[in-house]
Amino acid sequence: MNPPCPRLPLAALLLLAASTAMAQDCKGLQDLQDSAQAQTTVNNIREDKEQTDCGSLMSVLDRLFNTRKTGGRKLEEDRPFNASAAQAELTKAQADPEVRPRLEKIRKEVTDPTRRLVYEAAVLNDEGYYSARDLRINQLKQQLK
Amino acid sequence: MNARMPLHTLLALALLTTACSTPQLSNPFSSQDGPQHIKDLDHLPSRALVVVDRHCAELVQPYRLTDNFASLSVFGLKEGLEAMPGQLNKMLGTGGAEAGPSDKLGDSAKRAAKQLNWMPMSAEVLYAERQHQARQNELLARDSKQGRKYYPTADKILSDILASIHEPYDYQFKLFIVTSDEHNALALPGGYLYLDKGLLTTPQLQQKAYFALAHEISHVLQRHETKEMQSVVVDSFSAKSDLLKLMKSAQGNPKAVVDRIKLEKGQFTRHHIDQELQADSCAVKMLSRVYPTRQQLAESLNAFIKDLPAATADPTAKAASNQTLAMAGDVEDIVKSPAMRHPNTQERKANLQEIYQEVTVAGK
Repeated sequence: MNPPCPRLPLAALLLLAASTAMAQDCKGLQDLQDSAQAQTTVNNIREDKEQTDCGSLMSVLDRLFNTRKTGGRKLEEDRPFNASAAQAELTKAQADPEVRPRLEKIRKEVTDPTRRLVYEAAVLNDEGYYSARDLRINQLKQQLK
Repeated sequence: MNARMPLHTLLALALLTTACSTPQLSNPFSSQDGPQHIKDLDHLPSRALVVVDRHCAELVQPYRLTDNFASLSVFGLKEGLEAMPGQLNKMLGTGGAEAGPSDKLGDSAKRAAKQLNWMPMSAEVLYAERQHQARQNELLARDSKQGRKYYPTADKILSDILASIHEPYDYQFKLFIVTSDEHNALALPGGYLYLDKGLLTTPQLQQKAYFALAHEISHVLQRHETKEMQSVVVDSFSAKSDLLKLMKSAQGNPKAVVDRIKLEKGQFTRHHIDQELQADSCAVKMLSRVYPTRQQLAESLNAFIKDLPAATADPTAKAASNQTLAMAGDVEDIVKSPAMRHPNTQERKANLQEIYQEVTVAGK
């Protein structure tokens, strides 16, 4: 059983704040906000919170909506996202006996495609399959456009 | 760069408040912590944004203000700039000499103020804390399943490298793993270090992780980010007059303005690249103390070099048929090319080879 998620109201705020901040240049998010779908999505995530760890969920939502540039000094330039490597990692994750039942449970219990992608991304984050998680986040971004 | 600009005011405030505060970290204003370390400023470069020592003669830059005041005073006497320490006091809000209306901050003093380290540690930590809080959700929790798996390895790498630094330093390094499969690392001022989890997954990548972490520690100990923040503060003292000068010259000769901006941007870019190469050099010197054999040092460097992007030829300059087209090309370069780029693969390899030779010839 996962611990309770006291920061989920924060996630709701994050989702709504991000929608508001980005509404001007992101039609999809504006639609979400207008239709109150963002609020519904977060409410549903609250109800389904046993699907995944709170920290992973926060991490996914943060990556989904946050566009900030971090300061500091990096070792090297960021490289472009490697979709084929991420797909290969997703296949590996799906074959992992610790991950597969969690992904199957989500596919069985969550019918809404957006919510399903959020939970899958959170489980992949939880299990350390970060490229596969980023693939799911990119798919989410496409859906929300 | 964008992320830093809104912090300008914060930093100015930090400089003022830290002068009166009692931070948990050791006091940069203290003169009680041992002999002063006076930096030789005989050969101050003609421009401020220059990496004086790309081969990393000193692994740790002094940070105590007393050291830097002493260095600046010595330099001021040499240059006949007797008011300079008073100027620095004024900039830091620490009182000191009264500044009269003709008390102008000269170019030499500005260059010295950019080369020296006068920003208090607490200002560095304040800046880093703010950045760190903003990226909490990207970090691996120590008590998570993945955290328990990877933090022991990361902590061991940090502790091995820190054990190799015999010079005194005042940072308390804090290491975090980023939930990313990339092979990158990052440092913030104040000693905040970040390693991608992707660097810890295999023994081969862990060799690169040693180099990555040594490189990032070097950025902190060389105070690279801090020096750039200092430059922003120092530059703000004459920004208005510079801008007016530039606007006046723009009326009759727009190309001169474009050339000036291009030159300034080129200098800034070069400075950033040289700082990266300096951090590479310091990393090699640190790792030469970590690894007992040349072979192990070479393996770590090779792990880094092998993971760099494939070397590409430098883009050749497009020949423009007339001056207007040439100027348009220059403007395009200014807008499109990043100011803060890393050295390319060839530059990094060449520099690493030089430092490796230096280190191994010197006695390994």
